Amino acid sequence: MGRLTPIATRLLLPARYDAVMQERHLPAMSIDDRLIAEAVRIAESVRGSSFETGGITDQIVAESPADLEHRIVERARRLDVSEPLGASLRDVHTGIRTVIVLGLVVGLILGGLAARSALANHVASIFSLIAGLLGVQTLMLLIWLVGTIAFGRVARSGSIGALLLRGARTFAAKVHRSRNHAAAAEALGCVLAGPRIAKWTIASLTHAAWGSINLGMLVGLALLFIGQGYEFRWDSTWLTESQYAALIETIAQGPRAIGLDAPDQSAITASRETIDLPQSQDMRRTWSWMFFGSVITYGLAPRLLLLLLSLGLRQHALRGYRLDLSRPGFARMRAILMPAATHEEVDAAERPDSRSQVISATVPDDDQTQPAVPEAIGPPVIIGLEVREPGCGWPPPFNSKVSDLGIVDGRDDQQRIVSTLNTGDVIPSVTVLVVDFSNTPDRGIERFVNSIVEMIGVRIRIVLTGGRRYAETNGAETLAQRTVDWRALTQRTGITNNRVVEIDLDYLTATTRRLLESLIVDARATHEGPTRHLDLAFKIIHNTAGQWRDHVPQPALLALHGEIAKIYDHKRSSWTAAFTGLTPGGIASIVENPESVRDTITGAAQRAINMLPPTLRAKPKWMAAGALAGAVGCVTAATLISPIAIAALPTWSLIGAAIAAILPARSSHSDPQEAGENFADAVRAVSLFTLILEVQGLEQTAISRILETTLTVDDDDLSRNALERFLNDVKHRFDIAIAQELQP
Amino acid sequence: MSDGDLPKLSIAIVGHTNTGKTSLLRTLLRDVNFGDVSASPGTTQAVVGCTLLVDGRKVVSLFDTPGLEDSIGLLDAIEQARTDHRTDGLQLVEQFLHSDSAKEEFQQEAKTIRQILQCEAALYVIDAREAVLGKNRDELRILAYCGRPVVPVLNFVANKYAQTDEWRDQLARVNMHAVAEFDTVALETDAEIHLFEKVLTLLDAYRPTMLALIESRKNERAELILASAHTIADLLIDISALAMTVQVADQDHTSGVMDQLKDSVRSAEQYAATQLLELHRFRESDFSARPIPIDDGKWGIDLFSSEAMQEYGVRGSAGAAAGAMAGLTLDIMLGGLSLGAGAAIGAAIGATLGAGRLPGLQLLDKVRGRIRVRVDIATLGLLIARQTDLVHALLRRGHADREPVNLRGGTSTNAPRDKIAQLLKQLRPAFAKPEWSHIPSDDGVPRQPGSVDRRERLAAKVADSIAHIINDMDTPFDSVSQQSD
Repeated sequence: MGRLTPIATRLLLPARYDAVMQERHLPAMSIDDRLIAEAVRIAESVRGSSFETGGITDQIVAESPADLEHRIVERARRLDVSEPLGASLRDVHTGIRTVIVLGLVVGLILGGLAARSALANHVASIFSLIAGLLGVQTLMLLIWLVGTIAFGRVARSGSIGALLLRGARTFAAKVHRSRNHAAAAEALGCVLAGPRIAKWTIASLTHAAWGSINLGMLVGLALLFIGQGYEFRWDSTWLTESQYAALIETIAQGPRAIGLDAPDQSAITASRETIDLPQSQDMRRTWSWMFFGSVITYGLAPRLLLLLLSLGLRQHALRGYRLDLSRPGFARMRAILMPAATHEEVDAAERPDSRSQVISATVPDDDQTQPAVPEAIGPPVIIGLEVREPGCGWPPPFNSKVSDLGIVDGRDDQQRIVSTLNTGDVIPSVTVLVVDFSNTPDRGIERFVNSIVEMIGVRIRIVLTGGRRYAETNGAETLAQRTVDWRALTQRTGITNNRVVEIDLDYLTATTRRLLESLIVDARATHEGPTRHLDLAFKIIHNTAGQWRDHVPQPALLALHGEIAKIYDHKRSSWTAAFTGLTPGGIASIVENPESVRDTITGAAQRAINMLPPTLRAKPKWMAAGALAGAVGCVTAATLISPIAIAALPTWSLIGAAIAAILPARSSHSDPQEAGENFADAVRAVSLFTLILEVQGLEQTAISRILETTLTVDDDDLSRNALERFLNDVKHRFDIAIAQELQP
Repeated sequence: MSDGDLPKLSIAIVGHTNTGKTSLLRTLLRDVNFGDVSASPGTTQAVVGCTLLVDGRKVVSLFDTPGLEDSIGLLDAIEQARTDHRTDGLQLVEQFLHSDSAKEEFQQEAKTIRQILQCEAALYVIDAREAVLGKNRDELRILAYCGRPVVPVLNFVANKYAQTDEWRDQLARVNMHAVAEFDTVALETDAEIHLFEKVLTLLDAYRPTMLALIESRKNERAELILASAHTIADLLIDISALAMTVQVADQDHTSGVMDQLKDSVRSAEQYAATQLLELHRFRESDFSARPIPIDDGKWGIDLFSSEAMQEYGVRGSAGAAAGAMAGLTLDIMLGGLSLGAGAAIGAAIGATLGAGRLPGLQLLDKVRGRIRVRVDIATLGLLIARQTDLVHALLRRGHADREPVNLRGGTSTNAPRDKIAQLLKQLRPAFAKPEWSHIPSDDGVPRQPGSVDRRERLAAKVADSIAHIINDMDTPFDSVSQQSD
């Protein structure tokens, strides 16, 4: 089809649409179908939920190749509610039609009354009669034509048609008040909201109303002319006789065109009021037919023609009506009825789980996998598998001699490692494989680890590093899953879990360095002697807390945390970051803004809670201790970095607000002496703070495990009398936890 | 050929394991349920096909494939088949597919390679957060052997650890310059179009198909914004028009009606949020508990709390956000004087006077001694801010994102204030039309269908304004996945 003018496009659009639908073998939809769909949409909107039961949408999607509108209409058709809604629509239609018919009857009566009024006297003024019968309606018709033709607009209110429609819809709403009727009425309103439909509906009603008035006039005139005798006279101040005759002659053209009589020049002259002769019967009849014919030709006929035209255009507009798919109730159906794609399993061939196969094939006893007795045992070997260079550098620092085989990245490196391990006369006493959490534990790495195991047995230790970075990149929950996946991989290669340790080489500390060392010297880390940081810290806690009363003021608690923090000053950057998530520089800048400080303290309280294992998080007393340790720990860290700036802040208030934000049940105080904690909470918090500082450098999962073992103590009656027992108990369990972590 | 004479294109989605291939498809398909997505490797073990539609016509088939887990071993296995130095890459790959290792050790990779050969092109999905490793270089070599156009897709580029430049550099070394960036979690507005355009540059024979797809996706986005705007407009008119009438002298009744009004508004807002989720093809569970006021599919922060208004920087009228009257306006039908109403509901009335009365009903209610309660302007402003923020977040959310939606917290809305103010003005006609509200009311005001078309016209106007607001909101929202500290 070539380019169409806008008008032609508008006229042809419905037909072209139907043709396209036919071409695509889609069922035709009537305006009633669409009305039902509109009503369903409205009813569902009012109801707040769908009417659908039993997978109608799935059926439609599977069966119908149609577009969204067809599917929406089809769905509406199939819903149980469509029947009552259809009945309601019919009720509303009936109500509206009834009022319209009544309106037309009233029009008839008004027309008759208008005729009676115009012929109130037996001597009728010709001019008054014409004006009375045709004046107002001709004026209205001209206004309508000018509005429509010149401006393309039809009055949507104020016209007789708009009045009639509004009255009809109001009546229908008053008569039918159920929810379904309301939905049906609103659906009708939505359809009428479309500009073309409303325009031509109102136009049709307007012309029908005027048509009925004209019909009423004709009936009235006929009855009056049959039953009464009238004389028709004229006179004029301004017009001459010939001018008046020309005017009448012009008007008479209409009646003559349909074969009715009209007065000639002599009759017009004889009908002047100044002629004092009675009119003949013929003359009267001629005048009466002219009036009758004028109402037909200038009143009824144009209205009937325009009524037909308006009805035709309305019908066309109705055919062109499409559901507005952007309306909320329809738009959401797009997601349901128009899936963006079809899914199909192309290759669903059963694939045995290769990973479980590997497990069964390779999990051996240590003895079985040891290679033939080597001629000599060489120094430990360290290999990085696809790792970035860690924060501590490569190779990581060991006190003992370690042979560094470098970082493996790609085929050439793998071949080099295999060749090195294969050709030597000595095998390493232990091989440390460093892998990065960021790397996916895939079959490629598994195959390579397997090949090493085959060469040197399971005298292998795995170090998982880069946990903090991975958690920051992917989220803490993903880290837990990644840990499980890496441990599963190593287990499949025969390396048992106790040979896998999580040490973050980006943040190596004294503790984790000992742990790393223990991997190659096969020795447990020693925690002996009075110089151990933890012992020193716990001694200070014992001495200080032993002086506390039941209520521990916050300044005292802060002071104790500060003392302990000084013991761990060598790890300051690590634990500062652990509590605040910031570098020392970041803390120094943030204390300038009290709002930021509050957010940072709240974040620290939440971080400390997150370090606790789920079992402890389930206990309110440890939640409180975690929040307190985090908040006070954060302030302690900030005090070490910017003591003057912190001193200027209402720290007790900020700590209270932070804890209250996380634990809403707790109240805060503005007075530092009133702000405080009970004895047990304070001791738990400072103990937890100490333990977190002690284990800095370990992976989060390892910290969590250590805290779980260490803090599962019987401390419900923690008081000053039970303080020493509590602290000893915690220390003892901490030693056990560390030993478990260090176990090769 | 596809329907409508557009040449049908097949594309394989390939890459190392766990790089987000299935996630990419979820977003392209707008289907949160497509395939399985997890942090563990080897989640996808079979080739799964799907087809993108344009006006119901199938135009582009996409095939999700298992990851290339052991590309080093695979390349070894492929190159072992080389018997003659003249054997080209494609012949090597075909020989490999007939080998025993393709049926056993590299069965998973063989499925992927077979699918690439059956397609016209491949999208090579890269996790840009990971470093370029030797195994990735081997993957690129294997893809080169397959002799199909490959568009590398850098995923997770919004992450602060993304090594986008390193990857681009590596890809350039193997002559791959048409690189697409497509974060399946934090979706850039035009990322999808850019991806299709990159495919278009390599596949000129499928130009009509790709152009049709691009056009369709643009239209779809525009329709989505408009439909979202209509949903919000409907909610706003429902709530603007909602008014409940209480007897001045009956204090118990007054507080009961106010509670009912609040509950109605909360339910309406929740319903709109659910509709928006459905519209954007997300699940109700795609919400976070905090700090956005949505909690597991429910709005978490009370709409009527002063905190909620502060959260969005919306200023309520004095006293309007206090106590039981928070967010509600009383239309006192006694000529602006509280008179008997003061005894009934206390001083809060004075604070809320003048926020919009219903003159047409004034006289009638004066005679009857009643007051009308409805939602105030500040709360409407808050509603606009929250709903437009939600739409904005959903538009930028990938269907692979497993973290719940988490909008900007503690700061103001993304929506421009002046536009919200204009929108509130547009809503004025609804204040005097209680019959326009779909929210059930017990004050006995019958709905007049005669004004439905006027409501529809207002809704269209309001929706148009909201669509403009949404289009203007181009500041990226803070998604959980982007928060690194």
